[in-house]
Amino acid sequence: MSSTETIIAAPGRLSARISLNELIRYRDLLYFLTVKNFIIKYKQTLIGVAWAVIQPVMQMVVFSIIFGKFAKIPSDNVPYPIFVYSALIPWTFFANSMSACNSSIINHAGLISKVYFPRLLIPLSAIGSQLIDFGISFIVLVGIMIYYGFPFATHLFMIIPLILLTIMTTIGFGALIAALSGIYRDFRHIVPFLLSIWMFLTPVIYPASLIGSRFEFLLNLNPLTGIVSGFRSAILNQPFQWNFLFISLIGSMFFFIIGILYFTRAQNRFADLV
Amino acid sequence: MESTPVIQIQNLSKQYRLGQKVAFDTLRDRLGAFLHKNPLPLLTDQKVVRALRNLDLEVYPGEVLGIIGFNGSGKSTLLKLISRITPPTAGEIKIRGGVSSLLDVGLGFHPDLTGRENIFLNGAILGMKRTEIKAKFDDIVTFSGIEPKFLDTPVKRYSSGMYVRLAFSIAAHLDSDILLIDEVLAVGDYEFQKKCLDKIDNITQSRRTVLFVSHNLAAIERLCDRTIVIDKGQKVFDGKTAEAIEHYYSLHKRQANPDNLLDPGIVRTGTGAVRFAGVQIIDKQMQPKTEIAPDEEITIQLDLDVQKPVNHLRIAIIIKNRLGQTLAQLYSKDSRHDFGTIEKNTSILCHINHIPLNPGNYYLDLWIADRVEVLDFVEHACDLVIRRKTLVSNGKIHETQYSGNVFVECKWDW
Repeated sequence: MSSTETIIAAPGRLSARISLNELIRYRDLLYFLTVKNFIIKYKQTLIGVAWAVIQPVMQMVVFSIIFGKFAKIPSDNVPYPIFVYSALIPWTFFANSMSACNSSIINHAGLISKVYFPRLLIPLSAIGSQLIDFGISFIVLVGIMIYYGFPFATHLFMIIPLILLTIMTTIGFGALIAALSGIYRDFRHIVPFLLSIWMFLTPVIYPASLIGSRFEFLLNLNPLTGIVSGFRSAILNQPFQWNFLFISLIGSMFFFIIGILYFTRAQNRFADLV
Repeated sequence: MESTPVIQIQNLSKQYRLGQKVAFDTLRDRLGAFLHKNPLPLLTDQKVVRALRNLDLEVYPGEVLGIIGFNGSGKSTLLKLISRITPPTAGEIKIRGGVSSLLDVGLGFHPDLTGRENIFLNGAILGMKRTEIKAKFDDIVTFSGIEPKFLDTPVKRYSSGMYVRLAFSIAAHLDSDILLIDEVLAVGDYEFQKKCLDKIDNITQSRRTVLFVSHNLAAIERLCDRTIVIDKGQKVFDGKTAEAIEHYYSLHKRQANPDNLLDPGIVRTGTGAVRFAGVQIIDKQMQPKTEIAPDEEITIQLDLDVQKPVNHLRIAIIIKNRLGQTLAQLYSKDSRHDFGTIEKNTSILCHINHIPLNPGNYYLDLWIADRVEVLDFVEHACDLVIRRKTLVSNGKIHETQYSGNVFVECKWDW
């Protein structure tokens, strides 16, 4: 720790702005909190990390049976399982991160009231541990692509900027939800059903092309639309819908800034509320 | 002493909302205010707790500052404000140097993580870097006295002693410029507490600045050169530790009522089947007193409020000095006294032929139990004040200086 810093703690001014330096100084804590969240999630389960593989695969199987087989939802002429899995990769990461952020402040109440560290590390580490599952879901993807004989085409390179976009979106909404549920307990109950509605408003189980052009604009307001259809295009080697992606990028940046700003403003009150 | 303070606090205040802390800012209030264009309900004066009021403080490099005060006086709030856990309502704090706060031991310890994992997690929470923890890892383990073979066992399998020792060991290896310590010594067995005090002794000798909050006045006296007393959110004394403890003690001495010495602000534990309703200290002439002379013959009368009949009562009066150390325990069972069955309110008498205490301030804890459970336990129930003897010899008033608590009558010869 530097020995000549001066901290001025007057009301309102207390970490009212985000200190990037401070986040960098505490990067080891981010790492350990992330690892902790990941370890305790799978500790004392019989098959451990294998759950991170089984969960998305089971979801894919169930969705394929219900929506692909029975409901016969069109899947742009690709096998439904790989069609739905390509969208479930970003969606599951996003939704699980939101649930983790939703309870993160309350789960760390003991720490918040007893020691200082940049509070943003709490939602960030909640998202960080989901990132490990996110990585594992790509390994499963490779297996599925080989099984269905899908080519690893050039569009796949778009995965990397898409992953970054997904993470940015997740951090923005995650910080927002963490702060809101930290202050207003009501959000702990709102978020789960908000997420289930959100999934159906996002083209996860159905193709974006299913929505007529009249409602396309509405679909675009949801930053997840661009991400999910982007992932699908990259994996299934289909043409990208750049207008979706562009609007998604703008929306994500907007929510990233709003989320971080709101969290930074709200964080001073956590210690007195939890 | 160097001229620039490392901590400079000006006009610091902190208010809390009383009771349910979120009562005035729920989503319902916000929505209601938004929909009906009502202003948010305003905080009224009665519903605000002023935890700290207009506090000024300067701490210089290398100082070991003690902070004492009753429960709820604002000591812990002060540490929380300095460590940036919560923002002040008004005022300003300037800090020069890195601050580490130890408001609790084992912060962030997760029962499912192993000892090794918890050392890294807790160290990082306290602000250490991974490389720093790695470098100190062996020292931490050695200090805790935990066998290395247990390091890869989840800490939920540890005994509570092991858990606390490990937790303290990590904290003891912090080396930031300013350390804020709250009550962490109240942990572990006697041996380990001693080790911790020695470690803090070491820290205080390393020219680091330490702020130390404790109820353990003996530890404060041993470690701190300067001590502040906080009462009802205000700094009421700032100076030498010995004088601060004297001042703290004088806060205790309220307008004592000889007919009932029982402190009105006491905190009780126990089932409540029987309560201590009153205490009198009666001298030989059967007069209730607030002060007694050394070596005087006294009777302590305890008035019992009996809610339901009890038998096989055991009663203890614990005499403590102002540092909180137990000097004597007067236990009815030791005297083989059986009170039989007690059905209604009554008074119990305890006769003491000579009270073997030097002049000074002491206090009593009262304890009552039946055969199975504690009925009432009152810590710091009342004061016991032993008057100074004033000797007048050769026309001069001569005040004896006493040290030590115990009065031993003796004669000198040659």
